[in-house]
Amino acid sequence: MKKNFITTNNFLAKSFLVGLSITAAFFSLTFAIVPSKNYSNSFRVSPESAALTLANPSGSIKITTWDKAEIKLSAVSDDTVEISDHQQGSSVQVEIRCPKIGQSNFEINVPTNCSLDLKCLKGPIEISNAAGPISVQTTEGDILLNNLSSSNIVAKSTNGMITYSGTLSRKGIYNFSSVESTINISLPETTPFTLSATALPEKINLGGFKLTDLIPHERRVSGNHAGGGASLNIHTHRGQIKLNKLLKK
Amino acid sequence: MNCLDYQDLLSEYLDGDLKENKRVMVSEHLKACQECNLVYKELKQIVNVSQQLPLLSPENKIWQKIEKDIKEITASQPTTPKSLWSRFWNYRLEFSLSVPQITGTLATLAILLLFASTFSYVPQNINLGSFSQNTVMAQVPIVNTTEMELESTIDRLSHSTTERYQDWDPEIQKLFDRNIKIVDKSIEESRLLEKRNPNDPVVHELIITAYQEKIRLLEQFLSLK
Repeated sequence: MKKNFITTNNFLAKSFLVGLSITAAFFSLTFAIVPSKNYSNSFRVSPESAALTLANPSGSIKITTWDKAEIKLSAVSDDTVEISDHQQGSSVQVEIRCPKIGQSNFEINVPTNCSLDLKCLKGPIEISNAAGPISVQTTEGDILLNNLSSSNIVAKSTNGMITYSGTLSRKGIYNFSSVESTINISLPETTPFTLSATALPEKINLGGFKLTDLIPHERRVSGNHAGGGASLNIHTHRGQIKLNKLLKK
Repeated sequence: MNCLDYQDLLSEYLDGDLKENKRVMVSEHLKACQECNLVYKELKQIVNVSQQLPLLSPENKIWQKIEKDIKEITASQPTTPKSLWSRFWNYRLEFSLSVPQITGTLATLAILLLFASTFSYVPQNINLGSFSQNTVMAQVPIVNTTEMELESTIDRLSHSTTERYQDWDPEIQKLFDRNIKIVDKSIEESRLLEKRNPNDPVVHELIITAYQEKIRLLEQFLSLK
């Protein structure tokens, strides 16, 4: 009788433990998958005066251009994130609110000459084929500027690599700076520019670009390429600066 | 002229102290350069805010009340034969200087002493190992207005950041701590370089750029909603 009593109790205890484990596993799986939501909106804009401002605390921003007179935004974000937008004329401003750091990953289409002002605290920014004025800033996040033909670019990061490929306009102004990371600049080999590259000694690689009117300094290389032209200012405190020649297609 | 040269001229540009040709050059550059335009707007904002600060003057009623109270207290004290010292002391008390006037005089004296000691002291050996930002700043012979303005902006933003820090998500706090450390390290290294090369304009630019980076970082975190 006593033995039966113990056996019954063991059975109950084991059943309880198994049940508890299954419930715990179910709940942990449920909460491990962070609920997400989708955001999408389009705005009619004038292609020549279009402007987009977006500051994303966490997550990525990917911009591609198109021929439409429209800015199209779509994002997948954590459930805690609130995305709101506002249009005034051809300027679109996107605001993100999140009590906790929640991710939002944006994919955006803009007209080619759209002016862009983008910020990410934690996450990468990628822009392709744009030609309007560009200001991009990250704290921790790489900046990838691919095939651009803008005449005014500011790209800054605290701790994120900056990669640029594209053309420079002769009177354009290009400022690239990163405190901690490497800056890669790829240009057509005949591009005329006036370079000011500042980094730790021996961390500047001109990649075969021959400069004239060189001003020697331990931490800076400055001079003209192809007679000088676009103002190309590159600064990194602890990273490297690499210039590369774009291969002809 | 590069961007930092233009930024050095912004204070004079704001005050209208630049000659016509330089003023036009700066104005044209501001139209073309987003970064300098941003610095210009920040400076303009600082000037505007400081102009809006109320001019505080001491309320006479308060001082009159204090004087009256002092007279009442001293009058109520028992009269005893006065020694030479107490007569001297009382004579000083009756001297009609208000407390703000005394404070102002003492502050002026302290400033004069500080200036005298700063300009008469020439550092012989600078111990770079015991570097601290404040000590180095006191030893820099040329005080640059752009640097001072940037430092003042950093102080203001740092104060606001401290106020909001506790409300942030722990992940944001970690992100902030990590990156502010990186920027502060670059400021510290630039300061050390400046001590070794005090007249090097490139090194001076490094400090300005590091300050601007700190301002950018603080502003980014303060803009969190």
